[in-house]
Amino acid sequence: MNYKTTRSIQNNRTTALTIFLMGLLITSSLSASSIKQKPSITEILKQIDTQQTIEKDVTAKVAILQQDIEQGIKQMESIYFAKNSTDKFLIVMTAPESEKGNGYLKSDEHFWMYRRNTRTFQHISRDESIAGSDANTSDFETPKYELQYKGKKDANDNDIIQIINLGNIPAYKIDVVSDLPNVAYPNLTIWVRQDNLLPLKIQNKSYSNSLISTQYFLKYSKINDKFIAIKQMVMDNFEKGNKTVWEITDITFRPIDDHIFTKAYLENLSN
Amino acid sequence: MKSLKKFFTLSLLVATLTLSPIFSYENIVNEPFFDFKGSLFENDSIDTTIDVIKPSKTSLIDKTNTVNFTGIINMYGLYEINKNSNLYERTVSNNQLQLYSDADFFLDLRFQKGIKGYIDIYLGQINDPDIPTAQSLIVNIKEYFIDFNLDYTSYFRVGKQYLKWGQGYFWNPIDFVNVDKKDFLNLNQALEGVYGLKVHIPNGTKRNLYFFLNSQESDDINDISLVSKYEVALKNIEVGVSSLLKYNQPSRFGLEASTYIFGFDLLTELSIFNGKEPYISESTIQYKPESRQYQWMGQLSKTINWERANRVRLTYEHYYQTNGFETLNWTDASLMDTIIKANLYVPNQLAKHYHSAFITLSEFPNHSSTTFTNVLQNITDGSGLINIGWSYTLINELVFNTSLIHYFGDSNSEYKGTGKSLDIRSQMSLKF
Amino acid sequence: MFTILKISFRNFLRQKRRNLMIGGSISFGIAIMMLANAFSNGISDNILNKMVIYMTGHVKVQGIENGRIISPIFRDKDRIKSIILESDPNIQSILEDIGSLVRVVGNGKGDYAWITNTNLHPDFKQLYKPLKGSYDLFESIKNPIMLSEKKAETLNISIGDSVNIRTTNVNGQTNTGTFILSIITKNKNMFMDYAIFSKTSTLKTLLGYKNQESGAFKLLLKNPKKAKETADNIHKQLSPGKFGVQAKLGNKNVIVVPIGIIPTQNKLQEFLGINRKDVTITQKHNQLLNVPIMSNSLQTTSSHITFKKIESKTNTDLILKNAVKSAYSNIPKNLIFVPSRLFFKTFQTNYPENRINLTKYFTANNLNTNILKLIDTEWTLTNRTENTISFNKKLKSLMKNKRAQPTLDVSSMYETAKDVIQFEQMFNLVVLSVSIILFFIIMIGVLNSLRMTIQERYREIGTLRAIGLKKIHLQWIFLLEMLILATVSSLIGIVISFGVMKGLSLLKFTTDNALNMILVDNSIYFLPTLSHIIKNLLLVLGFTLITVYFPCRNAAKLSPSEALRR
Repeated sequence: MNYKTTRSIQNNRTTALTIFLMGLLITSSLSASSIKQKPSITEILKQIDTQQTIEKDVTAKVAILQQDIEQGIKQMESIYFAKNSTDKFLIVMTAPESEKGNGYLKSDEHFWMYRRNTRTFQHISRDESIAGSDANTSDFETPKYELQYKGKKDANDNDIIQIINLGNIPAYKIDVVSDLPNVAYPNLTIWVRQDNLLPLKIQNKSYSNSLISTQYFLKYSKINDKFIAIKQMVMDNFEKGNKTVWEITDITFRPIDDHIFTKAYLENLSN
Repeated sequence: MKSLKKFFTLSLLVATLTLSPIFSYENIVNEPFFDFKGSLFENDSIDTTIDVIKPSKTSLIDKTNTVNFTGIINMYGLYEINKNSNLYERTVSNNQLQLYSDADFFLDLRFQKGIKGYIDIYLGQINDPDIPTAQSLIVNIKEYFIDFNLDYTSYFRVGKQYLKWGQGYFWNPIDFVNVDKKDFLNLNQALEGVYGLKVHIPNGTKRNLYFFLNSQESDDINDISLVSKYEVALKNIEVGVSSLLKYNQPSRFGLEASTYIFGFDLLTELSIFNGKEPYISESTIQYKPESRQYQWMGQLSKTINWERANRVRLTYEHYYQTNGFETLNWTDASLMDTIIKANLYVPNQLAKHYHSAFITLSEFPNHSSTTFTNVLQNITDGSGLINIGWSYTLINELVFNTSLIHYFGDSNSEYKGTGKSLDIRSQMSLKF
Repeated sequence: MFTILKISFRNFLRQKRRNLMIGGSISFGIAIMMLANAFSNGISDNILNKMVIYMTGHVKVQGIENGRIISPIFRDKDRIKSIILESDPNIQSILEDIGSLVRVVGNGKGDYAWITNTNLHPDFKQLYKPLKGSYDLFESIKNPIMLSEKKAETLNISIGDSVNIRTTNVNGQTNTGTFILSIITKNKNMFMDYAIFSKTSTLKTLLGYKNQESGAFKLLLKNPKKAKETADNIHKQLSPGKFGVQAKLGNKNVIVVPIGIIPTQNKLQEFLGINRKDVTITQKHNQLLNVPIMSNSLQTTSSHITFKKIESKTNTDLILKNAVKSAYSNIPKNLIFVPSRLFFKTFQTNYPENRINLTKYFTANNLNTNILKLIDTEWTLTNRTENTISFNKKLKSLMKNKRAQPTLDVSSMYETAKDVIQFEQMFNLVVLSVSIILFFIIMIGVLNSLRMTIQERYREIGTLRAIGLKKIHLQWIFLLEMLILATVSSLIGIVISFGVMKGLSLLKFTTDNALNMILVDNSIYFLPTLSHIIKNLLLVLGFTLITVYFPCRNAAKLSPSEALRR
């Protein structure tokens, strides 16, 4: 049976997860100019979209902690280099112990898996599978909230925006709907900070408006005047108890030297 | 009985030690996860430079000197059900239980600019059931080497090292370097290295040039051999050409290629050299006149998605060498001795034709288990072994492995000639 | 040649003991292969023809959009239904097949399942008798589910408990629903462990089908044996026409048509008066990219095209952006050519009420029918496939293409069961791997003794060579002898395998568990085929030939004196 469509990212293999999440997460936000007036829903969605543009070159450390009611707790950490302009990446796992030192190198159609304990580079010349995972290029297409969702309006055709405190942070709360096909969550509730419209919390809801999962943006960091969500958590509200926390550290968007993307460097990092 | 007790005590100790971190994980997850009172913004890690990230200058790798000590401890329980055999002029006694253990300790030293040092110390027991007193400890340094590089353009490794030279899963005809061979029943074991200097010059992601100056068993400069390889990834195929050059010795040439076609991963290795094909005549080794010899390995593998991506993996390998034996009486002890003395004995590589198949079902029957069936057969004499097993990961660092190994073939064949019939083997590995 | 054959045959008869031993092993090997083949073939047949009917019907017709083979959809079900019904008198009934892969969460336990609808036909009720709960309960509530004992155990639920179900609906959106367990049945077969049944209407809501929409059609036939013929007839009737959507651009009546593959600059210029440079054409599929084309003479300021939806009879908009205007006089004035992808994206989810048959329209208005060639058909129809393998291939290519234009597919029970195929293939692969490994182990043993026997007979070779037999003849004597041996013992093996099959199928098993799947009428079901017999025979003979050829040649090469000496 084809489970691919519904199998959530939690059950994918380590690499797939890292790559997938990096695709979603390595994002930069606009210089958060302080906003005085109450914005429109479109502006809020636009801000979230800007925050999700992938930069050309990314280096970071990524740590993922997964709690699955069936599979228990998994902790993964990796070092990640990506040059999106030339379709190259290099990942070295640093945790757990069983994966430590294993690495992945990709350049165009070529993909090499490095196993530390045997010091082997397994060559895979397949574009469609990344480390034999379910993640493929289409997964990297970031959602465009502005185009996909519309805000709820009141009788006077004004956006419904609630002013609310989330914890102790002044926030705007909005509900948005999508009637477009292939938008996984047709209903969202979004909390953004009042001062700079950075998202704090997003509830993903199904077509029938029941809560599927909640995304928390736990920590932001500022790089080159851009805000990056460096710690996020997704709680599964459908199957309670499943949760994923990921954290990015040492992130930069500086151009990466090509000498990084070599077998020799991967081997040198690993061991 | 005493060793059995030791086995259990040790296992219990290991289990207790390694299970305890689970509870600390629990704490991490259950801590209040979302506290808006705390600072939501980390102190800005202001990074205004636009310098290029160079291999030597990335913030991701700890620049400070580090020492990393890891290891793996294996405990084995082996129950052999034997048939009598006269191999090596001794009778393998009937059914017997062996308990033994070994360990590899790895020391990994890292300095600045990619300079590294590495040592693998092996501790094991000599375990000969016929000599009860032989249970003495062996200490062996399997590997020790130093890594350095020239501004990340060429990489060097000097010392005793196990070099992976070819991609074959079980056979590597183009491996002109290593002495230690893979153990079919313990494929993930760390192998013993050879002395030498390795140079790796990458040219972009897709081209690599390697040299290895092999000084293993070299008393004078003429004994040193040079192994080199050039590897390039073309459209959807990666090919490598290699050679072995040694003073006063015939050269060897190798070719390898790996690609993906018709839904299969294909891999092949071929080595070519001039040599003499040995054959057995009246219990002695004779040689045919020198001619061109080939050693070839072809691998076909496929991964199948079954509920989860790549859950089933099928690998088939075929090995053929022109300079292998066509007929061999494996129970002829004096003949076997001659072969060993003539330096012709290579386990699983003595006859002309072999093949092997590996079927692995991961996460079967449950999330923590892997079920596998590995078959190895000497096609020339028809004998072989089947290893059906199950490995269970208790936690990431503790793996329990148990398998049934059945040997089949004629009584004077390669795998049956030892008198072995059925082994029940279990292994517990602890990584730290 | 005849003499050689005679000598070979005499040799074959002479070495009775040896031949009995080797031949016996070959027979055993081929019998095992035959049994394994027939057994796995029997299971395939059992799965495809005896169980799949309940899942896919005798004939299945489905429409696929955007490569989503997992959720087929008809946008105007009544129209398709009437075409199908008219095509063959053999059709007894048409059922809507609504199904999807879902995640089910019971009491703290989750699992995957395939949810599907049931028509509650008496045959169905007969097949799945309730162990707990009842069909009355099932029919009386709005959102019932029925599942197997084992599934209920996995999910930790009993009758009356509610379960949450999460899935992706036909529009690719996540949806959820709460269902109440009404029936627990016995595990009749492996699929029952995996399948969950509910009501058609409830499932249509869960999976996002609108009123006039439907999933695939399952057809039950009066004479199921004629499923292939019926499928062929339906296939003929479903050949697509060209159609346009009647709409309004501002206040003008227009017809919106899909424009597909652009062949050459010449034709674009010739038929539409458009330069290829004026439009963007995709590299890969040579298709027009998001630029509508219309006649220059269509004078309007509006860029809103409005049309009536079938669903709510309300109007919906399609906004024209950057339209290219053609000054060419032959272009029909009120036709607006919209790139195929945009056209189908717009009109599939909002199915238009007013459609115009363009072939009729073009002849009625005396228009240049060459232009008609550029227009895409209402749907594409896949070729009929002969067997499961080609059917599976077809589905895979559909999945890859991801076309917005609907693709219709007609398949009979002989090809279908895409959900089961993977399992069935997996099973066959395992059976085959195991039997091939076993076979090779046996064969390699056998052939090694064969080679030994040739080496043992060097003296005889010497004698034969001494009396003047040529090398090639000698080689043939040995080869033929071995081939005779292999053929005779293979044939015996095949006969033995048939005997064993007969014997095994006489045994009756009474079981209610998953084993049931491999049983037909309580006995193991074997289905040997002629192709298996031929394949196995060729395999053995080929293998014998290859292995024996070289020792034979080597033996023949020996000079008489050398051979005699050994």
